[in-house]
Amino acid sequence: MRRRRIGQVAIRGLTVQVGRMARLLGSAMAVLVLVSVASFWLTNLLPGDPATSLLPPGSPPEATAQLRAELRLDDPVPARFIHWAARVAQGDLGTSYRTGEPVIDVLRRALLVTGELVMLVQLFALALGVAVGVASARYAGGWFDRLAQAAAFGAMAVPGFVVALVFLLVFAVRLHWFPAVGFVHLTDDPIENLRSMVMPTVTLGLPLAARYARLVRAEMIATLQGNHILLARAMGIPERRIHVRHALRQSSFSLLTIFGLECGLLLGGAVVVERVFAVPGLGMLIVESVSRREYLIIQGAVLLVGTVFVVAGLATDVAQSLLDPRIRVRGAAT
Amino acid sequence: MIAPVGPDAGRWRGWGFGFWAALLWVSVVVFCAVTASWLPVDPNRIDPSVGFRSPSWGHPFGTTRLGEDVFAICIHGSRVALLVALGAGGISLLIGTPLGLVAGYFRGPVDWVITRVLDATVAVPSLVVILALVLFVGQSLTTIVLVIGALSTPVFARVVRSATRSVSDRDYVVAARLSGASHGRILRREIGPNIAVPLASYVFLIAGIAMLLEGVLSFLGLGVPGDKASWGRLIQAGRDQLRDAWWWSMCPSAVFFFTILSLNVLQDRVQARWLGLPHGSTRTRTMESADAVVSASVPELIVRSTERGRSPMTQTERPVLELIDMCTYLRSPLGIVHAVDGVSLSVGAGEMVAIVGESGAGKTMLVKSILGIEPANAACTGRALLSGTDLRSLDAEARRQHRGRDIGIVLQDPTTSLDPVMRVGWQVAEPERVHCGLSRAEARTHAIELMGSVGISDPERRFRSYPHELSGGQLQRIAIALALSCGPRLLIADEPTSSLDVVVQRQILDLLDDLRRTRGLAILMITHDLAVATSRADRVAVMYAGRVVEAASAGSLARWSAMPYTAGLFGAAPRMSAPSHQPLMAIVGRPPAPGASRRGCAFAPRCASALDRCRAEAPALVADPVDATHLSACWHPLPAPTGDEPIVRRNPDVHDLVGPSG
Repeated sequence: MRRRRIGQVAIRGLTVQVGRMARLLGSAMAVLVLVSVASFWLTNLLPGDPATSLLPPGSPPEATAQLRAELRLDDPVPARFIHWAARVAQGDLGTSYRTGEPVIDVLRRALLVTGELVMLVQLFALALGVAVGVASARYAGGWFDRLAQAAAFGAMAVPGFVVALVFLLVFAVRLHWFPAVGFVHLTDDPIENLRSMVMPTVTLGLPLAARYARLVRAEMIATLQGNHILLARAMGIPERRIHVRHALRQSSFSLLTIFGLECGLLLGGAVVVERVFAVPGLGMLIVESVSRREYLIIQGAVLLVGTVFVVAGLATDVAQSLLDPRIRVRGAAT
Repeated sequence: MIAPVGPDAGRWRGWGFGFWAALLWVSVVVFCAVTASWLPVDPNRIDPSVGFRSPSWGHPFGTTRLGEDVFAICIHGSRVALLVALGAGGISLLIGTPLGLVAGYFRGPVDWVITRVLDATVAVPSLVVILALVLFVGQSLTTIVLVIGALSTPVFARVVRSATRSVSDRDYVVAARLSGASHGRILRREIGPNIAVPLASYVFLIAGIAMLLEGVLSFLGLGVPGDKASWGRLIQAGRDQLRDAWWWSMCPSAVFFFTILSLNVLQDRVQARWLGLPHGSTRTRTMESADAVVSASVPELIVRSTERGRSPMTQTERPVLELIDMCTYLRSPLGIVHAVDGVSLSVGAGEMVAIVGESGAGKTMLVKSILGIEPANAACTGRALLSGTDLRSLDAEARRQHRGRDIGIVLQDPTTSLDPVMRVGWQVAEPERVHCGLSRAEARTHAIELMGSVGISDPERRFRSYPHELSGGQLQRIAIALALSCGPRLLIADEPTSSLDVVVQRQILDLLDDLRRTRGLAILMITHDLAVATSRADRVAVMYAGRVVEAASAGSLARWSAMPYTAGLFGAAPRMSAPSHQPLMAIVGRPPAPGASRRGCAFAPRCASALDRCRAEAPALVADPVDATHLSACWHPLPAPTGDEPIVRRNPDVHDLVGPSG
């Protein structure tokens, strides 16, 4: 009897989960379509046209016209969008106007660099932010907390390009600890690669760590007010264990949400830091492509960033529903 | 004596130093922006003879290669910063607010569409938008303000949306909706005022973001064109000269940093003030004052404890728990609160002692003081002997090891006193893992055993449940199993049945009864339910304003009470046998406010038979001349009934309803 009931509940829970995932996927697709349309429209706002910039100066207008036709630049924007979207659906992002290299390869190269940077930044920010946040919550109101809060405020207020400049001035120009320019790829020399990644990582990671620390601190302080924490204390559970097992675990769910969001934001938002430290990442690629009117590379890059953004959101959602038992049931109850 | 911190003291300080510093800085920037043209600084004067000068009195921020004064450019740059902040802030306020309001209030498909659009705008790298728009329209201050405004709008709209969502779930909004108020009226009258202040605080944040974006644009060479000075352009211009003229980009960077920092601080403080969050320094202040309380009150306490001596309410054999003159004073804005004021009592093995009192009588604070988990602003004195060991004299670590191992705790509301994201079985097993060092497997087996013994059916399966999957009664059984995990000698149950319905209450009380019989557990039960106390406990202590005002065996207390307060409590309880038209006798007045005067008997202001002496002198807890086990703290105790007199008061109905007398 009971087994059958459990089975039914499980099936209902599963259908609810599937339905929920379908809804989430629908939202994700909607966002991606919006992103593509917007970026297509935006790139077409750019003044000038790729054909004139590709051909040597003084080329005959017939050559320009022929090239425009080849590149389908004369078609109306909606028609070009549909053509592009149909190709994308088949996994073809087109080729670079200038070099003829497939866009997907160009993107992959840049993504490897930026992806590594984003991962390093997240690792750095999580380690620093969570440690500081937990310690702040533990000694809320104490000298460490106040110092950490002030530092976090400072780190969030200081513009990335300013940090980058200060780092350049201090660590590269004066102390010669790290190279100022000259990025080394991971595949060429892993050690040198890490050395050239240190300053970009810290520049991007500090404000992020500050945000994580503030979030963890606020969540932990709220959780520590709970009755279950009082009970754990009354039952003589050591403070360390209370903080890690009960408070931090419960506070980590909202950290996960922000973490997922930041993955997408960092990917497209590292441009200033990439520029200062001469890192050939996605941000730099976008800036260069805009100035060269490489429409297809811009489209591809925007689509890539948007996809990462949406996928990170979905992954966060799924991870949360797997980790937080309350969500698991909330889903099944509706 | 320390002057109490009144609610008005520190009305200025309450904002914190940072707030005033930030406000000052922003005011200075705004002032500079407005009056830049009239100030005696000229950003355009070129004089190569003074090029590359480091900061000095004549040029506080140094000079550029061409001899321009960096300080002057900074002053004039504040105009661009202010324009961008105002323009972008205004745009995001005007567009973001309605979007967020509509999405958060109407939800459904409207919300879905708006949220997707907002998501999409965040998902497109802002750089692409900026580059495309700026290159398309052409670099100008207007374009830049518009683009930055457009980019910060989604940020603001999201904030409005989530604020609206949380407010529109509140009872008063639901009530307004049910009473047929129009959407416009609800948005205007109910939701608007409640989100206005936190949202207004976000305008500061948006202004900061806008300035930052302007800086980024200038840094990328897409900033405001022409001869308009801007901080971002100055930093960008100086970055190639870092080695030789660090001041060129570092001085404007510092100005930039302090401005954005100030805006963030303003936002944070306004929002925190609105939400009523304490200023960061609150805890330190209370901790300092707690020390002060101890030093101020020690001589007084010594006098009192010698005067009062040990309570006669002790048993011949050594009790499991013995409290001697426990005092807990709290430092609060209202002054020093005597939360627990000289409580002495004892609980023997297999005995259940109930402490009865209104909310605020100090019952829970007494429990916390026994355990040594009182709040940071409390000062405790007195002794709490656990089988002869004074818990209060132990250091924190030793005391922690006693808690949970020798003392089990059950709290009032089982739905909140268990960790919501941890399987209940592991919570039951946790004290044992911590205190007895059991392995996971051993602890698991034992926890399942324990859960079975407190009446959880199918404990194997329930072990893997989460708290939200169980009912209140089941959860309280789990909580009891958790408390018994290490086989304690003493169980302290703080209102263990208050949040449960009557049938479950009875089951839980039966379980506790059973435990003390079979395990010889000493139970200290805190309750506000006189019927439960007199029917289940062996002895009952009545607390009022931090003091024990009457203590007697449950049987004796069921027959009569010496203290008018206790008599009032019994009179206020409804009785099935009383005629339905007979009004309940409520105790007039209210318990003394925390921090009120401690002269005389605390109950005197509410007592019908209070005389001058009651208001002047506090009565001690003394034995009744007829019944020596019945103690009361009253100058005019009601006399004990003699054997042949009819019983003054019993509460048979509640009694029978709740269960057999203990």
